[in-house]
Amino acid sequence: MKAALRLGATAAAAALALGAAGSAYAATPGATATTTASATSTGKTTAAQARLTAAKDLATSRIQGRLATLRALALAVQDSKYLTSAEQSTLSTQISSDLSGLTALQTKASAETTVAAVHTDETAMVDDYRVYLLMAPQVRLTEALAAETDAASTLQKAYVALSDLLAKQSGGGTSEQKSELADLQSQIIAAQAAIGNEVAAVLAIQPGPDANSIETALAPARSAVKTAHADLLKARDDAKALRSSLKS
Amino acid sequence: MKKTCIGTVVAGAVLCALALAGCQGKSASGGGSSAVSGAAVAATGAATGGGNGSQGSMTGTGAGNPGDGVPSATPTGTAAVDNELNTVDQQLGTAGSDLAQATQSPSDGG
Repeated sequence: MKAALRLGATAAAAALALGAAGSAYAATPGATATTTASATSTGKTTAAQARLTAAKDLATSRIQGRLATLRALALAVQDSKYLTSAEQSTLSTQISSDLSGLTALQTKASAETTVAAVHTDETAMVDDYRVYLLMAPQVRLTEALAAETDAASTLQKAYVALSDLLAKQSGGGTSEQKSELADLQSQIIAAQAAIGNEVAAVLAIQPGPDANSIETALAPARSAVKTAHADLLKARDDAKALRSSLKS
Repeated sequence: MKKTCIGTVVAGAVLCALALAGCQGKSASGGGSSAVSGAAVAATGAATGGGNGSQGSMTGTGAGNPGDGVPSATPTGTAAVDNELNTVDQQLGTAGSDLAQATQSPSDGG
């Protein structure tokens, strides 16, 4: 959020600079009536330089926003309690690669001599990395799936403990308790089925110019996380209801 | 006379050697027995201590002091269920937060 705000503020400033440059350029024809040809030429050169500078400033801001997001994602991956070491390694490697690539692209954009070249760099900044469209969701969805996998495992332990406790009750518990226990197990199984192999699918998605295809590729994982989350919430509610019906 | 002296000395030496050997044998026997007994005690202590240490680290409720013979406080029954449900709440909280972030619209062209 902070990165997004910072990016917005910087981009706005850069846009103002670009606007000023555009105004200067627009005002130039009016000045030609009262100035020499040489002065006009100098004015055009200055305006073109201003446009180039503004374009570079904007590109730099956009790249810096992505770099800040990547650094935040790197910390999230490093500090995660749920990602496996393999998942952490895969994500960290990709984030490091993107950080290096975008840092180099920032240097390249700063050295460009035409606005068109800067725009080409910006296209590469988006299409080759897809930080916001792909990398951030990859990290968040992978961690969500990992946390849900752990939650299913924890609930399975609770299921076993509750089964033991229920078995000690008269008649093995009431019909309601038995029903809650059965539903608890069903919801855990359903969540595990939803999670399936989605982590591998998410991590296999690659950046590219087609934003729609990336969104389409991410959709099943988003759906899986939602479904598993709902299943696990039901399982947790079953476990809590069952637990509260038992004496301490 | 000389032979008698030599015989006495040799006999004395043999007796002495036998006596010494006997003493050493008893001593060795006693030491061995003592050592075995001590080793058994040490092994028992180590096994007890190791067991407690293991239990402590597995449950995360405090590593037991090796050899103190006091079982660590492992949550069981309803207490174990309560612990697991608290953990599940944290896990699902993280998953929900991640899901919310993963469904935000991408900014700045993606």
